[in-house]
Amino acid sequence: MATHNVDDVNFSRSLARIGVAIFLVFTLALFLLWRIDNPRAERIRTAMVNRVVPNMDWAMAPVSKAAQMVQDFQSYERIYSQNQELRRELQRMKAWREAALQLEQENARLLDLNKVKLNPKLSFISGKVLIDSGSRFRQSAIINLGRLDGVIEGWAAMDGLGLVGRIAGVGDSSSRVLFVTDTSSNIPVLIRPSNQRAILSGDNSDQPPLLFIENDQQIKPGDRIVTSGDGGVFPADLLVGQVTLGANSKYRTQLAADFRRLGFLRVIRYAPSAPINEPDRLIGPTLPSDIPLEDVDG
Amino acid sequence: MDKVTPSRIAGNRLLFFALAMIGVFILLVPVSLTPGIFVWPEIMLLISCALVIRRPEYAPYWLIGFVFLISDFLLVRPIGLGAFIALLATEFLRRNRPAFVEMMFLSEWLGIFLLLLSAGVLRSVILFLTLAERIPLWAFGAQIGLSVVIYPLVVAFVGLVFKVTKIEETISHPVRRTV
Repeated sequence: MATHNVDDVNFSRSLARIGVAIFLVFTLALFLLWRIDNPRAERIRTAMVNRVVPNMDWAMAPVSKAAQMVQDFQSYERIYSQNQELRRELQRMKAWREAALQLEQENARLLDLNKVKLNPKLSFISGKVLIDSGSRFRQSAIINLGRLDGVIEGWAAMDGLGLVGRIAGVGDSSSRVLFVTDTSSNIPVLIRPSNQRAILSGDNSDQPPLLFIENDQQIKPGDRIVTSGDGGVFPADLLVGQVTLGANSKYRTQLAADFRRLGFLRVIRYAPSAPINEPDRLIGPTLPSDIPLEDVDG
Repeated sequence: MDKVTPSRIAGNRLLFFALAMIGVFILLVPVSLTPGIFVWPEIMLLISCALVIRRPEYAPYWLIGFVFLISDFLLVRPIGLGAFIALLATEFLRRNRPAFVEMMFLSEWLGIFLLLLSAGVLRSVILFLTLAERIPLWAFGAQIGLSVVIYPLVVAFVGLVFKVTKIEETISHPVRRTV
């Protein structure tokens, strides 16, 4: 140490000081960029995640498998009570099955009368959950579908049963699914059977609250919640969950999707039909504007 | 004491980087996707602080900045803010290192508590000023409390892994040398 030249030490120290200052300014600038031009900054983040995460898959898979096995093992402890519960549930389900069969027959008859096609535009692609958000205050996950698979920002993601979230941030081969439980998620929903509209707004809890219910006298716990399709964000009639009554008598949502076992997600392909802007063009494709009207008539 | 050779410095910097990446990796494993009330302590910040006090060569500013910038990107945090705060905190420690080295462990602990608290408050203030979303207050408190509680464990871990102790010889403060 004593052989060091004092000037030399001072020089490297002031160099470090400048470096620190530059680094501080740089990170602060990044933060401001994130704040001011959020979409662009998030695109940078998406590009980075897209580069890093698929390469980590080989390491990720065994670890998450092992953790899931531990969780599964823990559930053995509760197996007896679960068994009892399942028996009771099965009993109830039998009744429901009967009801469903009758309804199905009725539905088939009615459909036959109507010759209705059930939204043929909806199809889905399945993707695997790669990583979660890594933070307790952000509810999202990265799946292994991206722009190359044709995924478009805003599409809905479901598990087999219920709505999970929407695509927010698309990379080339991965994209982020923002869960309905995230605080920045707000989804227009419809409460059946009373057809009340409401907004399902995430708040980092596993039962997100229902806000702006039109008339909350008309709904009761157990009512089904589906997406309303308002605003053209989601297709209508995707199952979200059931109404429950939370603390201080606020209505909340028991989500139909099982977030504890979210290995794979279905991304619903959805192209909303063109909005109707003018009264004279209710039906039919948009015509190119350079064709004179006389030609069309002739 | 054992000499600090350039190769050891490089090896330990690599080790620091690897530890950080493992930490990020563990946080990202999709084990539980349900929102929980569980809060993680800021282990990487604690490791950086403990290391800067004990052997600052192993955790240079650019490495700390780089590591926290990566975590900001991958963990969906406000980009750049985590790195900014971590750099400020560790640079504060680096400047006042002689004082921290001379301290008993309890006072160092208190110092780290105050540092974490002010770092957390600074982060909240910045997020508040820019109208960004902040974590709830109870989580903020729980995170700092938990971090402070596990600090001795982190110090033991750092001592074990990087083989560093708090030795006054390592102070190379110019004031000290001229005296």
